Amino acid sequence: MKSSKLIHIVSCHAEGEVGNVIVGGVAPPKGDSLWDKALWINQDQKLRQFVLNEPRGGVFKHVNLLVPPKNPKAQQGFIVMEPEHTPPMSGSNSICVSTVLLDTGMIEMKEPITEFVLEAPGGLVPVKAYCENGKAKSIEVHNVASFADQLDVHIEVEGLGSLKVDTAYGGDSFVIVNAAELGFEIKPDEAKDLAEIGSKITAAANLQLDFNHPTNSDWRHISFCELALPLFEEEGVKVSRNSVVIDPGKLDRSPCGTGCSARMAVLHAKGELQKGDRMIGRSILDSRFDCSIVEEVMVGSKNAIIPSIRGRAWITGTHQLMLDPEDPWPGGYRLSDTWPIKQ
Amino acid sequence: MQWKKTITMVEAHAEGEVGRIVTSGVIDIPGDTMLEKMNYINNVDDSLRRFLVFEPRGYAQMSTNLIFDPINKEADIGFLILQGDKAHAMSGSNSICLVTVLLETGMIEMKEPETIVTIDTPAGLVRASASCKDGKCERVTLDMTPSYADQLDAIVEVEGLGRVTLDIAFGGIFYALIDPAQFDLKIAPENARQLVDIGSKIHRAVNSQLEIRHPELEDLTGISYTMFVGHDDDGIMKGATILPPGRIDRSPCGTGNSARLAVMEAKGQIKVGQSLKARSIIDSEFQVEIVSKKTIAGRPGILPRVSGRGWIHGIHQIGLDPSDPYPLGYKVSDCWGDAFDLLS
Repeated sequence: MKSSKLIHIVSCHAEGEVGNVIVGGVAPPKGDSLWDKALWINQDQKLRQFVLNEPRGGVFKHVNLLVPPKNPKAQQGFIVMEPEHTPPMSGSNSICVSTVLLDTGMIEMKEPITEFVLEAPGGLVPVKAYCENGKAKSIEVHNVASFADQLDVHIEVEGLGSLKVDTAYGGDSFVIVNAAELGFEIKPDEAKDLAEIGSKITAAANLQLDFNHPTNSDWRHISFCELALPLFEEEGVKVSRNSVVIDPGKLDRSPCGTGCSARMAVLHAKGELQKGDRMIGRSILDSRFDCSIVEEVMVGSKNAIIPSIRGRAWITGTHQLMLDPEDPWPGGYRLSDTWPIKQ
Repeated sequence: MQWKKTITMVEAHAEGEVGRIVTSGVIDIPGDTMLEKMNYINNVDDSLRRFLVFEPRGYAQMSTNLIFDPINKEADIGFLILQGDKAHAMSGSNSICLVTVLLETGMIEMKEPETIVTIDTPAGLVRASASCKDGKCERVTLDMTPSYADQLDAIVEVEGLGRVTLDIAFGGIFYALIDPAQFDLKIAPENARQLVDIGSKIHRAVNSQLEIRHPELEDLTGISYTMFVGHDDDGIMKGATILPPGRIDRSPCGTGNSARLAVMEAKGQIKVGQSLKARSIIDSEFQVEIVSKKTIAGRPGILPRVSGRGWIHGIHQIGLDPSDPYPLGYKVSDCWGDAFDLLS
């Protein structure tokens, strides 16, 4: 057995969504800030291709790189690598990263609650971990400021006609549509159709709507489509059952932290959720995030909220990824059967 | 970190198709033969298969293989292949991964320039010959199951596609071999999803319109897979086997090429002893040939031989946290496909 590369990974999933964590074997990427480091990783592509592409990865996997934090308030920095994007922040991935840091002892666990701060490319992420018997039982993260952009606007989508949508930012940018109007119940056997329709909607939204980030003029795009059922209630708490289509056409298996944040920002802007209100996020697997609006803030001239997301994660493995120097595919490969072509 | 189950595996790919080999954590599966062990997983308890194969620990486009002490004492190793639908008896690409892992991790001593490894499978003994140099298993050659052409130039009516011409052949399981030029489609990574959709439609039509039955194995009826068969511009054979519920073999496919060789022999397109390259959708290559002719239940058939290369790319410890709500995993149709009706 020969290998010219050795990367150490702890694998993990948060409420069904895989967020693996590179714990060793990769030098810190170039860049003065985490934002610049994420940009560098995205431009370089080598690490992304090695860990995300087949045969080592697959479209359903996210991989997080631990990096030293730049902000002195943070204990640990991390950069999320998703199949298509290297995004500013991800709820399920920050829950996986926090669980791996605590369950493997990289951050000392204090029971019943361990508090620390992560630094993502999009900003600081305060973490409150509920711990019991040596296990991080659930992780509550405060997401970056989230805001609604355009409410009740119409887009034309080929084959679907005119759709009423909202756009919002929850650490990443979303176009949110009513899944019930499209005939969905958000169940696993609808996944292929949800992914195809969601990709079309994202593509149409990017052509027809501008995204206006008040403090980051470079951010003009919409990353994801969130297909959400109308709110209903469980035990007196509003429930958002949704499915987020991640580029290039794969569903989040978790309720999606940034997606729940974006939806809460929209509901807040429409007066349906207030500061202090809770919301349960339910995924296509029926897994659950407990969300709430912690604060009302401003982002530039826009009203925004600080959302909190609480969910559980479990370590599923430890891995050494290798590269035989004679392997003809050091950068891996993608096929459109399981890795859809971006629309 | 707490695990109540820990399984160690070495992961390799054979010409692009991933086959993970479980090297510890599974002592045995009940059964006095490899076939009984396979049937135990398929009929009695498939919790281990689900744990290993489904998300979040596995994914659609790979196999996880179990190894045992061989039951047949002529063999070096016992072998079962676990996939998204069930445990399978034999696979060329997984056998190449197995031999590469056994030799390169030293579980079986590598002898240069050639090491023979005999594999005990539910389909019988498989003889693998590994070419080895400088501690690397460079190529694995497999003698495949006797294969024969069953129906040449058969025609099926397929909804939305019209009349489709194809060949039916046996290469350990039955295949429908289809020229994708009929649909103006090339075998290429960006066409994978379209090929899967078309292949799934043809699969249904073949099994409802054609009578396909193995002359000796009574239970074996109908095709298991469709395979698109074409040629690259340089004349090299190219193939893509569709694996239900919805993905393509990344390797050129051992059993598929065995079936293809049988059809080529029946059509006079290849001679015994002639060695050809067979490419996959990602342009990886097997070397394939007909070793000899062989009569199968009174029908003219062949003994095929296939060789390819494997590379180790990871070592994994897979675990189960006692509070993890998904000990049996899950599959979601965006990545797994939706042709569940075609699982055999």
